[in-house]
Amino acid sequence: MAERILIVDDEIDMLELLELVITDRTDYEVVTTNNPLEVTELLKQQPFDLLITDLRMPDVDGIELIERVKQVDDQLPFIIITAYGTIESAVEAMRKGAFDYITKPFRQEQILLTIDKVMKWRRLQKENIALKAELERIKRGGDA
Amino acid sequence: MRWFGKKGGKSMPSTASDEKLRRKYGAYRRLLAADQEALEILTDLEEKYHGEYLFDLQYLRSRLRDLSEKIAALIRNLDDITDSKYPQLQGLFDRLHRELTELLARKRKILPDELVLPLKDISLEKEDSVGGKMAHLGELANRLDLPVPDGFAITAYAYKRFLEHHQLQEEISILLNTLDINRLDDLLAVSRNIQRQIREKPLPPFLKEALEQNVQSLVERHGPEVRLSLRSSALGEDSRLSFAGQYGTILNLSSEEIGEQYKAILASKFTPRAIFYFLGKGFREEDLAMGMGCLVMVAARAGGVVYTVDPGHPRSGEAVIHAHWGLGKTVVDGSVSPDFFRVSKDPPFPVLESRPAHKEKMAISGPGGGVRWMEVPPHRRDQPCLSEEHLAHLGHMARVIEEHFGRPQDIEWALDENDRIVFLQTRPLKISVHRNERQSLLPEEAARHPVLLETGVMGSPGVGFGPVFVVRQERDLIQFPEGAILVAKTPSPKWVTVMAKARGIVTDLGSAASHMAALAREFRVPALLNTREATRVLVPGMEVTVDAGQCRVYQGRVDKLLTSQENEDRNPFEDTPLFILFEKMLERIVPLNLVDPLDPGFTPDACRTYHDLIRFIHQTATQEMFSLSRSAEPSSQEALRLETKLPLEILLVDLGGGIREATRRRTVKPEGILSWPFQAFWKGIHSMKWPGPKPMDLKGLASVLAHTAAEPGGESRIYSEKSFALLSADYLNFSIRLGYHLSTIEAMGDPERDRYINFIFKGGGATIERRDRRARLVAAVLERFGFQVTQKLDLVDARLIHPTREEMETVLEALGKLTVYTKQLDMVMFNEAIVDWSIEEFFKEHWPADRLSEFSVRNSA
Repeated sequence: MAERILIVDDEIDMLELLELVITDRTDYEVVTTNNPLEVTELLKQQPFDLLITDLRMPDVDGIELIERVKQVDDQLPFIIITAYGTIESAVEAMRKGAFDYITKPFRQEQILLTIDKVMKWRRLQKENIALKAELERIKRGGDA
Repeated sequence: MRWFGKKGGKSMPSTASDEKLRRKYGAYRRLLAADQEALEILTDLEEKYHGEYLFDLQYLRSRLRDLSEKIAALIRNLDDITDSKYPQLQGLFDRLHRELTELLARKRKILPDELVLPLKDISLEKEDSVGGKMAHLGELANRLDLPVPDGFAITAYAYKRFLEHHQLQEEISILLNTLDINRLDDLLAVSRNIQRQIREKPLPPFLKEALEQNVQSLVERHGPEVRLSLRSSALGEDSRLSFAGQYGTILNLSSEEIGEQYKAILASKFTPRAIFYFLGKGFREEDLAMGMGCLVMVAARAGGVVYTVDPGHPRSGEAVIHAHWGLGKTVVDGSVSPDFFRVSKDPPFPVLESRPAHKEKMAISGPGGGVRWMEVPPHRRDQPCLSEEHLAHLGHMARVIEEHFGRPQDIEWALDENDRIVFLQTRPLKISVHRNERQSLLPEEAARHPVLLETGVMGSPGVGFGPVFVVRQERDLIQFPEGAILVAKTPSPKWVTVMAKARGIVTDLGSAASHMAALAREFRVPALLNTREATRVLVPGMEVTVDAGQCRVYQGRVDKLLTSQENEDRNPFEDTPLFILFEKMLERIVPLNLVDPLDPGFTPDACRTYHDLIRFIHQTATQEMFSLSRSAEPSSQEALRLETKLPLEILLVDLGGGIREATRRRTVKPEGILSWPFQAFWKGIHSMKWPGPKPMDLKGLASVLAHTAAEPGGESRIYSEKSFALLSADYLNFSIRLGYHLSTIEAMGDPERDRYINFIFKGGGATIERRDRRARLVAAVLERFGFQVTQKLDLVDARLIHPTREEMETVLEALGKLTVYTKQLDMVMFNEAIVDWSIEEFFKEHWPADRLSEFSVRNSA
């Protein structure tokens, strides 16, 4: 199954461009929403491998969104998109565990490379979790 | 000797006129800074337009704000420099700024207009009034003189008045703004609600009257039995994004039905799929005011579509034609499998491929209205609908129409009872050149996968993979899963609601000319049509790879095919609302209409864009500053005099940091000047052996004497004219008069600005031929130093841009030498050979080759 990316931005234009470039140039499946309030709901419904979110949104800002997302899936890697001039918040986002941040406007290659890095890391993370589980199973088996 | 310096405790006295010069100079420097920043923003915007970057509306807003601030600063500073000589610039700027801000607010303004316009009065410029479809049709009729049906357009303003009259606008806005388009039930309810309201309201009397008058004039021209069609022509609909088939067309109406059916089409705009389409694309309802066309029906023997390029082979120079008996609508909506032809667009427009279809049924206008299906007579079923002459004509017209609009077109036509081809519509054809061409490669890996289907026609290029999902009726769409391949019997534009989810489309019937195919291309969903047996062969849930370009469906996932469509170098965003808006913004910002300052059209009133304003202001400010040293007439009391043994009288004005100290007698020694551009230039002047007048032949002498005699007091002016230099630490503006010629040098050496040198050389005492020859000499020397040079008779206008400080110093020194070298040289310019000889002599004597080599890179660039 193709890996899945969820993109959140209040600007429909940005969502459209991101979706266009990702679906055009990669095999990832993309789901977009301009409503940050429904993000946790979407995450509960279906698994995602990456969240890309804008930092400044009217109803919930990116930092708050990260907090909420962590309560649903604390393993989900996320990339923050910031407007030029909001670097301080981006730093805060990094402290909260963002994989990377990217400043608007950005090149197609920039976001694709960042996504590529996250997905490689995500695969390792998944593998790691699976191996740990396997180890646990063997251990338990060994103990038994 | 006593100095006015720090020790003297007294700074140099300044005067009102000095102050004014300094103020202008200050304004000029600010202007140059704003100019540079404005051009940087312009470049940045253009770069973003190429599609390499992702950004949002917020970014465009902030860039526009920055740019507008810079232009406001340019105007303000130009006012200071020219004492407000160009008051109209502010008005031009305000207008452009207002238009741009309105564009960014994404509000379409529907201006008061006619309610109805006859087709003969319509061309592309009326697009905002009558909509894309009618504007294009008017263009075909009136600019290309092609046959189109008689008729008229009902404007967007009529739509606006209709809504206003019944106060419907606000109600619709509320309904749409609160709608979640992902909830299909809500979508259906809102759609029904709006449609009902529009249909129930009567036409306002003024609109009813306008429609009746225009219908009546069609009746007068075509008889009381005339049959009419109403075609929607929404604003923005056909220009870039094809809303193919989204809004209604009603065929075969009587003249009495137009009023009611007008409302029916207005209502048709609010079908669930149309609402989904434009809200999902980021449009707002008010952006989509609607125009409409009312056209006389063509009694069509056959009809169809021409694509002016072959979507499968966009660079082949061939057009593709689909045709069927009866009304062409059946080809467009995909309800029949039409004849297929490929025709060359080069004379004599030969038919390259002909694949007539077996045609059993055709649609015709029913006698009492509406469209009726009938059997195709047996002898015509396998007969091609078009003769070779028709096809050659369509190939020719494909070329004419494509060239006129400057991009590939999708043209609808009909063959009337008199065997004449009539054009019903033309609009941009959506194709992706790069993707298609890469598709023609078939990786070997593909050969290992079972081929399930190998037939049909490509509706939209590309490769897609997913499980088969068969759609038998519209409500099946609600269940359509993300990432599936849509399989159905006939294509339908209703599928637009799932196109974002579909990875491919395969049908039994239909052609690439259908609306659905246009939508699939727009959404970049691969579509393979007319396979005859897709619904039989492809079973629900089966995983398949659709390669539309090769007309194949493989079992399983063919990875190499899927990855071969990466890395396209088109702008993937060009059809998005954001980029369409961006393009409209750039139309008011980027194009440069004021190209040549010497052109009489180089005036403030000719400015059409921000770029024009920037250009005009910069040019005017520079000229104004340039002439400052020539027009400045500070009295001897105000100005400082340069102490020199050379036979020159030079008056100096310090603009700031240019002069260290002056004597009480208000003279300055060259070493007291801090301005480095002046020092460099002076070094050149001073290094020359000051010649007397060159030996002149009798004719030359006669020429100068005649010239002198003609000017009162001329002779005495030769050496007594004053030269003025305005200086600052890194700026020089020096008009130096030597004999009869005037050189003006302006050098800006501020490291924070774009450095430049301007040089103008004009005049002389000899005949115009000789002055012209000397000017040629000056021009040739300047060109070797890398100047951009314009020469007109005895005027040389030259500019050196972006030099380094070292280059500037070198060039200024050379200009000093050249100024002295050319003094009265016009007298001896007997013939062209002397010009060439003098050029070489200048370089040999005064500027050896090794020094010039510093500029070789610049010259060869």
